[in-house]
Order: sequence, then structure tokens, then C-alpha cells
Amino acid sequence: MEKYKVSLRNRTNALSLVAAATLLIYVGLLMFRGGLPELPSFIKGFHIGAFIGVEVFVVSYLAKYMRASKSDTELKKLYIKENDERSSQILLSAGSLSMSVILVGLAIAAIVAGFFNSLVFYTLLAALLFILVIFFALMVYFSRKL
Amino acid sequence: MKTRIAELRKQHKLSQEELGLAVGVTRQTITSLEVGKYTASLVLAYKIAKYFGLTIEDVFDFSEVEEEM
Repeated sequence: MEKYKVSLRNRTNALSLVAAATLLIYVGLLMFRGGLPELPSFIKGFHIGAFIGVEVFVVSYLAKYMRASKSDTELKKLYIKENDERSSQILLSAGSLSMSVILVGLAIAAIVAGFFNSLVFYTLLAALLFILVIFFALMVYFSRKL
Repeated sequence: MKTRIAELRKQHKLSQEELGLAVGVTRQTITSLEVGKYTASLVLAYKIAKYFGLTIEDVFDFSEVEEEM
């Protein structure tokens, strides 16, 4: 459990850095908005939502890690929750199925978009190729590792 | 896969949460094992059997696996 305690401390430090960096970037963007191109209000709203989302996510995890590091029982419960083999199996199954659905969905969307707009077509094609490259790179990595 | 986990757990007056904590899995995993929805890994099967002082074959029913072979 000592190794896990160290791992939680490292995660807490990394998350604190992420929270601070996100806040700095957002404040920076707010202060120098004049130098940026004018954006539609939906995109501005999306940016604000994304920054707030990251902050809320980071703060909730920080609170969880701090609570766990105060008590050995809570620490063990968190360790079990993170390392539970059935949960890992669920993630693995959901991940592999969603990968297939995403690949087929993107391919169909790219084909359909090709009839209407070439920019959307190339964007979807690039996303599809990017996912395929990552997928095969990870497949090679794990087939050597396991 | 059928198991004797629920029966052994009741004999030892243990809750699913307590058994889960002892063998390093969540309560939900113990539930799934008991109802036969999830098959334990070799390591988890070993931990559960060892916890009850039994062998893996005493806790887990391998008759279905043997039929497939």
C-alpha cells in the first residue's frame, strides 16, 4: 500500500499543476482576447465550459485523493476500486466495442460527407487515419509486451 | 461459472463487502461471481480459495469447462 500512497501523492501533485496551468491559460486567454480572432458565441461558450469542466474534474479528483490518503481503510477501498478486475474487464469490453463503432461511424460519415463538403470529408478522413494509426501502434506495443 | 462463494461466505458470516475487501475486489465483483455472471481470474480464484482455506476446485465448479474440452 506504500507504493500506492506514493502514486497518489504524485497524482495529487500532477493534478494540482494541471489545475494551475488550466487556470493560467484561461485567465491569459481572457486578458488577451483582443489579439485573438472573433469567435462565434457557441464556441466561446464551449471554451468556457471546457475550462470549467477540467477544473471541476481536477478538483473532484484532488478531493478524492486527499480524503483517501487520510485513512488506511479509505485508501484500500480506493485501491480496490481502481484495481478491481471486473471493472477492468468492463472497461476493456466497452473500449473495444466503442472502437469498432467509432471506426465504422467515422468511415460512413466520411463517405457521406464526401458528397457534400470536401473540407468535412478530409477532416473526418484525418480523424479516421489518426485513430487507426494509434490503434495499430498500440496493438504492436501490447503484442510485444504481453 | 457456478461457485460456492455465497454458501461459504454465509458459513463464515461475511458480507460481500467484507469478502471483497479481504480479496481485493469490489462488492459488485463478488455479487457477479456469486450469480455466475463473471468468471474470476486465476489470481482472484486463488485468493478466494485461500481465504476460505480450500482449493480452487472446491470453490469453483469446472464441470462446464470440462464438458467443452
